[in-house]
Amino acid sequence: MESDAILVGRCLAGDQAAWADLVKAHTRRIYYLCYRFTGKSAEAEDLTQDVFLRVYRTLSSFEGSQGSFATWLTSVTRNLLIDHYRKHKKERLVDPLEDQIGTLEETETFAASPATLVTHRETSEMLQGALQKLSPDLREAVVLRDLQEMEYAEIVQVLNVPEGTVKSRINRGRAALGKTLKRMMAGRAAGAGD
Amino acid sequence: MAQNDDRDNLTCQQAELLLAEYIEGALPAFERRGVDGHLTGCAACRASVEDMRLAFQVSRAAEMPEAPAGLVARILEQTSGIPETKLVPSWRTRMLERVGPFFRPLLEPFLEPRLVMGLAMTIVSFSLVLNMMGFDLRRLEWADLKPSNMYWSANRQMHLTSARVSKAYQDLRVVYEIQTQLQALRGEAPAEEPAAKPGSVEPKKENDTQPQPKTEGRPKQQNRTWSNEVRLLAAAMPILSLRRP
Repeated sequence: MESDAILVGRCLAGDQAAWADLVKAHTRRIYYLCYRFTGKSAEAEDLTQDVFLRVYRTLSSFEGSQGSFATWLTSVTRNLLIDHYRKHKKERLVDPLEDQIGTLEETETFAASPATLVTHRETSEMLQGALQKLSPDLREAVVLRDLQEMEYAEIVQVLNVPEGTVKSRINRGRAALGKTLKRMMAGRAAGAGD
Repeated sequence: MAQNDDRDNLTCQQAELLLAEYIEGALPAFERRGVDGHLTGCAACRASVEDMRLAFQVSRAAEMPEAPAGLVARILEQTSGIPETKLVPSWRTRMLERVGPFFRPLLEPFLEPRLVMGLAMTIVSFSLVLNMMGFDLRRLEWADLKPSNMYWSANRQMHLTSARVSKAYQDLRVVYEIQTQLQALRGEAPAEEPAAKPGSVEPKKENDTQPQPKTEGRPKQQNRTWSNEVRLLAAAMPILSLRRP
């Protein structure tokens, strides 16, 4: 597979096969990003299509000297996700955590590895649920770093904030996410014990 | 060490800046020791780090799911309008696939469409110039590339071309008509009309019925200057004259 920069150049020269290669190379990642952000498969699918539609129209504005294509694509995705979030803000007002996991008290039962208590699928579902409880700022920072495994410098470019702010958001996001996961896991463990 | 002493006395704010990389295990040893020292004495940060570590482990363990089936095809239909199945790799991609991984990096920069087009145009231009100079590219020999041979060939080709152009000009119908008109004005018999081309039908001229003065072959070459002839022609056709009648 050729590098993204070469593929972009060929796309701009009218090579449709190069565009297909670009779409194939990045669809999964963008879909995953959208899914982790929205929490809904159908919405993530629509957003992924919107992202590539926008990229197709604005591909000429991509400048390789200012960063990689993947980073630029993530920025475009992030902008669309923000628009989408604002549009659906009323529907998405974060419910109190207890609404989802009940009124279970946090217990000390979750001290072992999470993998020993729940299956992988359940962990993934819990992660998705817990991510939805984060504020958009913290969620996007955590998703970009821990789920997309982007470098700090790339996240700085995408979020357009200083590195210190990025790290601070990641820390706060991880701490909040960890707390939520602990509660959810404790709730499930208690439910399984009944 | 002074540096370690400083690190052991990190404040919560200072430690927070390092926690992201501390959780990831990406901190240099001396900074990691500093954070460890701070965590030993700070229960709040210790609890926070536990939460962060859990979130980090669960997130990193999560697998990236496959995109839904048909999503790529739908994107391609929406954007380029071409179904994925109908997309044919470009000539460039096909060529790069053929040459193999060793030559690919060498060949890749030269297969840019602009460069290839420029190269092709240069070859075409050279072959045109050589062809005009009288070289048959299919039978080109080393001897043809000697300067003396090239000069001789170019000179010969130039004369041949000049003769061809001259003949084509003389054979033009309009030239013949003008010459005839001039001769008539000078009171001479017209030259023989050039043979009609196959398939062409010449309309019968009105003056065909009129008696023509006897002529013997082509008219004599006149020594009059071109300006005299133009003047005569202009007198016969006032529209050609710049002066008002």
